[in-house]
Amino acid sequence: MSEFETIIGLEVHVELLTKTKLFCSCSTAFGAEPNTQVCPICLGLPGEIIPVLNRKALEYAIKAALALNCDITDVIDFDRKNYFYADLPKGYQRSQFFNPMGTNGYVEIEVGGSTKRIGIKQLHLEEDAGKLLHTGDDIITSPFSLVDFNRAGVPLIEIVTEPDIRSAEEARLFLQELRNILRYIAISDCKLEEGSMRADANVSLRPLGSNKFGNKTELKNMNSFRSVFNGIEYEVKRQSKILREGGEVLPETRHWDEDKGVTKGMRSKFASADYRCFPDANFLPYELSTDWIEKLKDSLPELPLARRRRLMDEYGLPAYDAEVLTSSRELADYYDATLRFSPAPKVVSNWVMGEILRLLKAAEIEITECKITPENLAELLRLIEKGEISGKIAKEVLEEMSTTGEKAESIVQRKGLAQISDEDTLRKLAIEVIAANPRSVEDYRSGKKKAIGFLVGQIMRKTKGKANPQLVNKVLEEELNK
Amino acid sequence: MTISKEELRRASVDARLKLTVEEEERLLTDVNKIIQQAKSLINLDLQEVKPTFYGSEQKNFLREDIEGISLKNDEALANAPESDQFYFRVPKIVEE
Repeated sequence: MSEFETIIGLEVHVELLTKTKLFCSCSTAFGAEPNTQVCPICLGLPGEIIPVLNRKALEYAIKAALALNCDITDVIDFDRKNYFYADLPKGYQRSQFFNPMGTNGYVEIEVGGSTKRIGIKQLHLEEDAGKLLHTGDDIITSPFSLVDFNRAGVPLIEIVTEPDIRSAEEARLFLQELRNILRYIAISDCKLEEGSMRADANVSLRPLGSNKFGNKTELKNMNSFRSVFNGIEYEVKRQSKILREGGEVLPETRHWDEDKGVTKGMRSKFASADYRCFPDANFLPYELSTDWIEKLKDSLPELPLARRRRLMDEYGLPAYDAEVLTSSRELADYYDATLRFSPAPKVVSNWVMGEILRLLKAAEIEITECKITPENLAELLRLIEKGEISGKIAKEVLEEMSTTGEKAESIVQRKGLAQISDEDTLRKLAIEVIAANPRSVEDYRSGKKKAIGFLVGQIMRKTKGKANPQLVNKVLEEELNK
Repeated sequence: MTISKEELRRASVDARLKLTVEEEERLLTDVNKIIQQAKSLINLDLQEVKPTFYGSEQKNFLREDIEGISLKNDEALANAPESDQFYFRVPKIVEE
């Protein structure tokens, strides 16, 4: 495959977390009965009701544009993108064709240990279409379609990248970083599986060294990060086979079929639509104040990349730790909060990435619902550090903390879990164990040093895991070598 | 320029309007009057006027993200040519 270079550009639609639609006050809540969150504006009924822009939607779009390092337009206007399709009640979609909200931005991703910049061509606000349900087996054989317009008019931002992406892996990394950024600024929940984030990929190949673009296909219907990766991988192989055999790639829209693992061409009545875009005269231009933009800029939180770099620079964490800990803003906040009570960044990282995430997963809860406060986690780690409990016992204590929210110290006292670090007590136990297990003792003395592990285990059993393991090892060795 | 009866009929199909013969006649007269009136714009001297897409120089405003009242389902479906329970029903949309 090395004779071709892969060129990928992504178009990503993201549903904004507003309570109401972009131009009317219908609810955006999910799961209502079909066609009950609609009004003359979002249904495009004839009349004189003027669309009025939702302040929150505009605010979210500006925040997104700022977080993606875009230049922000000074006047907001909308254009009509005209096409006929049953999910589009007005016969046009309001979008920002001529004057997008944000332009000329970028997102940085880490590829193979170095930073790569993916250009953001533009970011614009637009309204979503309705939802079509096909009766019958599939879209092709269905005799008619049903339409629910509850989603029509829900605010979206569309983010269009430059053709800077060079592989399926880069596309996946870009999307993950984009999702992470948009979740950090809390403007969308960005769920690919549920459609609040949708990614289409323009894929083309060209001979290595060429700077002319080849024919591209537009891939749709990729509903997870994995299917984005698999869909693009498949499409790259398909196109390179055509090109190697001297053929020509047909420029078309193709659907990813997750079950069959292939992309399929989809001919539609509206394949090569000319959208005849023109400014929507019903929406008068809105002037953005620079004050507002500055305020929004100041309100942005530390974004994932900056946060990863800070965790690495300030605390000396490995890149892997920094990535896991910043995978959500809430988790990163938890980590930072714990460090206010603990002087050991790497120890905290290990416990958060290991035990805390494991407990969250088992309980199917988010970090924000976790009953172990950062302060209490730090206290638990201090007990280990001081030798008052072993790491193994600490895991049990942590589990208890996660269900009760109790402090580590009080669980340790209540359950008598304090570590036995008294040398005389342990020595007595060692002597008992040695007397009771002559075979292991013989093995040890004949050179099988590993046999000591069994003896350590016996002492741990007798102490219900509370014996200080370093001390146990020490006294056992002393007794065995007598 | 005038609109012919044939063009009016095609437009009414696109707009999903079923016009009676009388309505056709009345609309045809009205539309052609409007076109005549619009023609007078051609004679205006607009050298000093900046091009615009908007009929007003008023600046726009925003609304707060607060839920209002939507149509009830039966109201929403009232003028639909076909419906099916809660849904609008439309002919199948993809060619084979």
